Formats: sequence, structure tokens, C-alpha cells
Amino acid sequence: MFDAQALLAGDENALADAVDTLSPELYRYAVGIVLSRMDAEDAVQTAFVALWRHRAAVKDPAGIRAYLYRCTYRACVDLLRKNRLFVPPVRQEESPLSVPLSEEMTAALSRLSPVERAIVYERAVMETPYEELADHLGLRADNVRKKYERAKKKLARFLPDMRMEESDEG
Amino acid sequence: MKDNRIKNEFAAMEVPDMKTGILAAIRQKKAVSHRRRMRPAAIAVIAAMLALFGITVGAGTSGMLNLQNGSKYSFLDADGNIVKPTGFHLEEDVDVSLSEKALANIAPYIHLPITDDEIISYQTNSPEEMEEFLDMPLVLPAHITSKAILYELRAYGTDGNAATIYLRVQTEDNPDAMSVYLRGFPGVIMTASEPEMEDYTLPDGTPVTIAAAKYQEGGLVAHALYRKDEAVYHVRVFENSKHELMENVKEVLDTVE
Repeated sequence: MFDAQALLAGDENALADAVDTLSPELYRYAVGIVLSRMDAEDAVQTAFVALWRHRAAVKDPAGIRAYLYRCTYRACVDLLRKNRLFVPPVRQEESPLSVPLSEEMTAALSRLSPVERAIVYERAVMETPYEELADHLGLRADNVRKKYERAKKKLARFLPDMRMEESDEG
Repeated sequence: MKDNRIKNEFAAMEVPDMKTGILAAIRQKKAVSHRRRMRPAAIAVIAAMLALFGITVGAGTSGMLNLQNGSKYSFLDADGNIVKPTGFHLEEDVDVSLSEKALANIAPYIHLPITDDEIISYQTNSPEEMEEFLDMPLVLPAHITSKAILYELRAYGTDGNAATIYLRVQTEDNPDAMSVYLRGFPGVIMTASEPEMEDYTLPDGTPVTIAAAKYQEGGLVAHALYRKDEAVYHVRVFENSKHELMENVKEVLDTVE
């Protein structure tokens, strides 16, 4: 837990608490998009730095988590553009950009676009409602829903034993 | 409830401690880090080049590449289980100390630009040869050294950048038994063709080499290296505009006594 109000007021201790609270899920989110542990760390760091620098613009303390998700996603996409790593270029065990996921999962996720990977993580792992997910990605909720359905079909081809929980919410 | 493999794999993922790095990044807008000593001033040029690759010149390892003190991480197997840790990152503040000799040895193996996916490699079969190349003792866990068959220094390129330089030790039973990433600045990915070098001087006349390059989020970073009292110092400044970057790095340098 962290004191969002204090964070926005410039309290570094509150920021440190926020890092403790939110960095694990943001790191996993970033790994799911960039498929690289080091780039994921960079993306999360970029997000927190952006939050800190622009905290005055984040007026709603309840919006900090969503802000970090948006920043992390944008940072991931930027890194992918820079690195042209939409597909991991070398074998997992040889690369300093290695992925902390199984080889099969990494290969399957690499078949998806970055935005599809972001959606899969948020829906399948975090069970984020579509409206909230759409806000993170700057998309419409119905568009996100379609992309998720498409991503699930793609994944099913490469992960035959895959099961993803699906709730009716969102 | 159905088994959710994706959820399980992500849940089992080991998450590194990022707090130190994040807080440092926030405070480092005008951070000045004083690094370890090196001798000739000419090395500053090579050092600046290596800094563009992410290798930090100097630091607190006392001329020793201690691979036992890095932060460990694990790989997951196909079932999402954590397998034995195989990788080590050097801690952020435990950058590698490189001597003049090591820099001279490494320089021929590092060229610009490095092509996409290219791996530049220097290999030796014995720890002694790698120690000679790096000009420092290697401290490896005994279970690694007893089975090591190849010591390899690699620079890994992506899209014209040298993203990372790392040392890889291969053993008989594990081709990737240990990789030590000599990346001093996580997040700093610079474009080899674009960094700009500029000469500057400290108030006392000491020459400084400033290398400016792109950073994340469209930002810029400047690395300033100078030799003073038989030590090489490294100053990093982050800014969003090139004008402010150069202004600010010079402002910092002007305060050096």
C-alpha cells in the first residue's frame, strides 16, 4: 500500500511504497509486452520516472495505477520500436534480453502484436475489466474485446493446452 | 476453475528489486558519480566510447570482477517452474572496473556501428587468459570454475546500438551456466551513429570529454569523463532538450573543484 496523496505531493517515501506495491505487476505486464526482462525493467522505471516528473498533472490519486499502466505500455512500445524486438532475435538462454517465461509461452506470445500481448496480460492475468483496460491502452472497450478474442485464437494455435479464465464482467 | 497457464506462468515470475534503480533514476537528473582511478588521459576517449556501450568505467570492485556478488535471477522451465538460477547481474553500484590495459584489449573487439543482432565475441579457454584480457581477477563460484570450458566476452547489438556487453562462462553441462552483464546503466540505449562528442574543460583547465546521446522517452543523456588526480570521473546528466543537456552538464562540470 502507499499514500497516493503524499506521493502526488512529492513525498519520496510514498513513491518508494508505490514502487514496492505496484512494480511487480507492472514488471510482469512489461515482460508480457516486450518479452525481455531488461527492457521490462527499463519500461517500469520509465513509468515511475514519468509519474514522478509529471505528478502535478496527475490530479486524481486514484488514477496513479492507471497512469503507470499507460506509461509502462507506451514505454514498452517505444522500446520495441527502438529495438525492433517484436520477435526475440536470439534464443532465450543466450540473450541478455532473455525472457523469464517458458520458451513455449514466449514463442506463443511473440506471435501476438504488442497491444495484443498487453491485452492478454491484463485480461488473462489481472482480469482487468475491458473499460479499464481500454483506458490504459487508449482504445475503445469493444475494440479491446475484439482484439482479446483474436489474441486468444492465435494463442490457442501455439498453446493447445492453454486455458484462460473468462469472466462476464467488463 | 480452469487451469490458467498464462496466469500461472506470470504469477511464478521472479520480480527483481527495482526500487533502488527507480529512486536513483529520479534523483539522478544531475547525478555526479565519482568513479575509480585510471591512468592516462588518452583513455578518456576510449572510456567515452565504452560508456556509449553501457560499460561504466571505474567503480567499487577494486579491480576485481567478482561474479559472486551479482544479483541472481532464475529461468522458468516449460512448466513454469523456477529452475536453478543461472544468471547474475552485477549490482547497479558494483560496476566493472576496467584498467587502461583492459580498455585497450577490448577496444579492437568493439566497433561502431554494430549491426542488428550482431554479437561481437572474444573467447578464451582459460580463466587466466580472460583475466589477462580484462586485466583483473575473476572471482567465480567454485562449481562454475570446476566445469568451465569457455570464457567469452560479448557485445550484443540491436538496431545499430550495442545494447549490452556481457561475460559468458560456459560449462560442460550447461552452455549458459553464467552470464554476467556488464551493463552499467540499465535503460541507456544509445544510437551509435548519433552520439555527439564535445571537448570541455574544468575550471582548473582539466580536459573533459562529453558524449551526448539519446535516452528513453525521447530524452537525452550526457556522459562527461575527465581525469583528475590519477582518477577518472564520470558525470551523467539527463535532460529532454539538447541545449539544456549541454548547458546543464557544463553547469555541473563548472562546479568541480
